[in-house]
Amino acid sequence: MNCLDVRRTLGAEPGRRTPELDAHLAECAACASFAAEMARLETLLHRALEVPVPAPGARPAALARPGRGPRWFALAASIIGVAVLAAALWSFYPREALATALVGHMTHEPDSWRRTDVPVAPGALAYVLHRSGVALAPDAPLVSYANSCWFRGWFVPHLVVQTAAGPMTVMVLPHERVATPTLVDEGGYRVLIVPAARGSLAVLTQGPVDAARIREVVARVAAAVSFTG
Amino acid sequence: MSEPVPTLEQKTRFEALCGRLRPDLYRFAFWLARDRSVAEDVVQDTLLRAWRSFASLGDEAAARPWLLTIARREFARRFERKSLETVDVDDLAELEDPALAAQDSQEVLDLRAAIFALERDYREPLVLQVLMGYSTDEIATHMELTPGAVLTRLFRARQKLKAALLGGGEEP
Repeated sequence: MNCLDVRRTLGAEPGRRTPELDAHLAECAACASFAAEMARLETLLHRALEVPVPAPGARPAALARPGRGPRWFALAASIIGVAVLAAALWSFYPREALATALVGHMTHEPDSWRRTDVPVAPGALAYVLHRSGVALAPDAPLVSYANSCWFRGWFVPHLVVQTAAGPMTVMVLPHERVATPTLVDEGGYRVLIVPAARGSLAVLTQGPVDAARIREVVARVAAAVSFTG
Repeated sequence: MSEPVPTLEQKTRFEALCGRLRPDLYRFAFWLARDRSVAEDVVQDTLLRAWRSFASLGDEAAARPWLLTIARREFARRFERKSLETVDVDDLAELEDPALAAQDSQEVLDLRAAIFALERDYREPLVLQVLMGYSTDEIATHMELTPGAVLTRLFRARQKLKAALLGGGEEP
């Protein structure tokens, strides 16, 4: 893969990661700088595109335009009404549902659960973190896998850290607020979700790893994570 | 022939779907139309049409692409009636909307203006990729293009945006 290939790839798919791409970025300072520039553009792009969404029914006058009969109005108003209700319910979505969604997400990247002492390429980790406005201090546990994942409406860092108790998945969730820590067993995984400086952090293990070990890892990760965006 | 009567279970599922996917649907419609009023109308028409054919949606995991495809068609139907694409970016009241400007940096506002100015051929795949998390193949299916054509448009779209932000020409 040469510089032109890298720039064409990142110009069209900035989130794309391949071993060849990572290897090139690790060796080519100019392309690594281009990758960082594209990552910054992606962050800005996401903010620019994410326009505020008006509340359902905020502009009912649109439904009362001439030419629209009362049947349309009644049906549309009914749908808007239920959408308001559904949106309200969604905002109170229980933490258990968040755990279920996290476990569901695990099925997308089964190969990430490898026990290894090889860290992920620094460029790849930097990209994943930068894309979500997250920074990770050097004293964090060894990160062996990093991906920028689409999760419940946001790109979030999906990391795998290596610990004495085996690999653990860490999801940094700046947009998922929880009031108190929650520990649940779901679908063969143990999930611990804790409040973070922004949103929450979730750590998942395969099987029932000792909760105290998970809490230790979560505390180390929480101390190492900061938010820049 | 009379319309089939929806079951309570179908209504509940549809309500949940509306609540979950409405933000995505609105933002997609907004960036197609570049107009809040049109976007809201497209969302309403899309939900009405979706409700009528809700029984045909087998897998709810496919609900979002299904709704976005309906929204795309609804927008196209409106486009046939009105020349929405001839909007002059300098006249777009949307850019002055306080709701859009609130809490955003000047850089984000400049980029938003540049996205407004992009042709729809470039804007749509960008929205699907950045905001909806679509893969290149999914965008290709949605827009009835080849994956290669999608990649070209995505590359060109970012080139144009970078050029607009930097105030220079596009990279070769």
